[in-house]
Amino acid sequence: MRACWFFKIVMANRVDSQERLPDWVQSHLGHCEPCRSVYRAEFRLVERLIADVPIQRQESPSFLRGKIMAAVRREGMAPAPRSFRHVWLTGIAAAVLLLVALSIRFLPNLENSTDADVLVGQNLVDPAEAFAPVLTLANREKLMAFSRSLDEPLEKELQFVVSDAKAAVQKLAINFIPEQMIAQSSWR
Amino acid sequence: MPAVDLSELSPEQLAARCQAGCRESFELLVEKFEQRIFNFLCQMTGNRHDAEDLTQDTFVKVYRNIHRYRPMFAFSTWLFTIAKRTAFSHFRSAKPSEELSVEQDPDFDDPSVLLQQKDDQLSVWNVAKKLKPNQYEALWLRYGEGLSVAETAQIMNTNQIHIKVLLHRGRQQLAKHLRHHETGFQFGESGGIVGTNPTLSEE
Repeated sequence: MRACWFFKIVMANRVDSQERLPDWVQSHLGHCEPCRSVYRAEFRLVERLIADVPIQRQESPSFLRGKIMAAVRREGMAPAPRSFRHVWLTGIAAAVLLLVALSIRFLPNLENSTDADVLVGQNLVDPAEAFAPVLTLANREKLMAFSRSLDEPLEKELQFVVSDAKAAVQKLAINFIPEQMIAQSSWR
Repeated sequence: MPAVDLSELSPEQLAARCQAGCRESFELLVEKFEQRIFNFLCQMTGNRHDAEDLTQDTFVKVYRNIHRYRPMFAFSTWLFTIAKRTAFSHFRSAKPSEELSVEQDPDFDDPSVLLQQKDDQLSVWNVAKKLKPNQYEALWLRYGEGLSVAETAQIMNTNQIHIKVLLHRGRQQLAKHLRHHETGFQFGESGGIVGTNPTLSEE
């Protein structure tokens, strides 16, 4: 029959999952001898495989369990608990990053300067008016000096954040990490 | 707190207790799975002595890494996966000289050994050893261990479609090998296998 290939796929699937064939496949098998033979062969082979499993099985040695438990006892007193060390180290790293990100985000608000970009950011002055001194500077050195004066507060703030983060990590290390672990780690 | 009868707990529940530090639960897990893991490793290595060592290694690894087990998954699947990986690392590190084991020489004076040999020759699984290793492994996990296609796929680190293909091709190859093998099978005109076992033969 033309659709036999399709029935064979369904039959193979059902043999894999060891489920009963659907009625429409069974009705096909009723009048298709080749498909019936294939199904019977596959089914019998699976039956035979399952039936022969006890022959293939081997008894484990009687001392094996004792051997395993002795090996386990050598491993330690109790199963290894879930390690939380990496969890709180990740937490500290995340907190430091968050601190840095927040500092950068709110830096213009913290800075009490009259720099042009801050004033523009706070909508206190007109942009054209704020950048007027820059635009009137003719020589390059003056322009660079003005640029540095803009960057200086940001750099200072970043230095403060980094030193704060270092201090926080040191404090955590002193208060929470066992001495032995600190001695082993290289970041103290 | 009421006392819990550990023997009534599922492997997943025992593993969860084991994660909390209960060694009795682990001992019960060993009791439940020792035989199956030993057999699985016997199939993989073909050597009782290696299977013993690897069974021990597997359970020690399980104990050491029990905190990594997630109870939402079947414990048996996780355990078989570890057993399989342990066997693979054993194959990688095994020296070629280890293939010839003294244990492989049968004791011909021992009737039980001869009986076992006769059984082995009659077993379809003995013929199935001629299949590709992954086909044999899929067949053993599915029909020998009674695991589902999904569990077999998880242990073999592949998808269910691939397992179905392996099973189908494995059965086809096995039928071909059986046709050429004297295992007490008779073959029908269509190539179908008719077992000589009266309980299995067709009416």
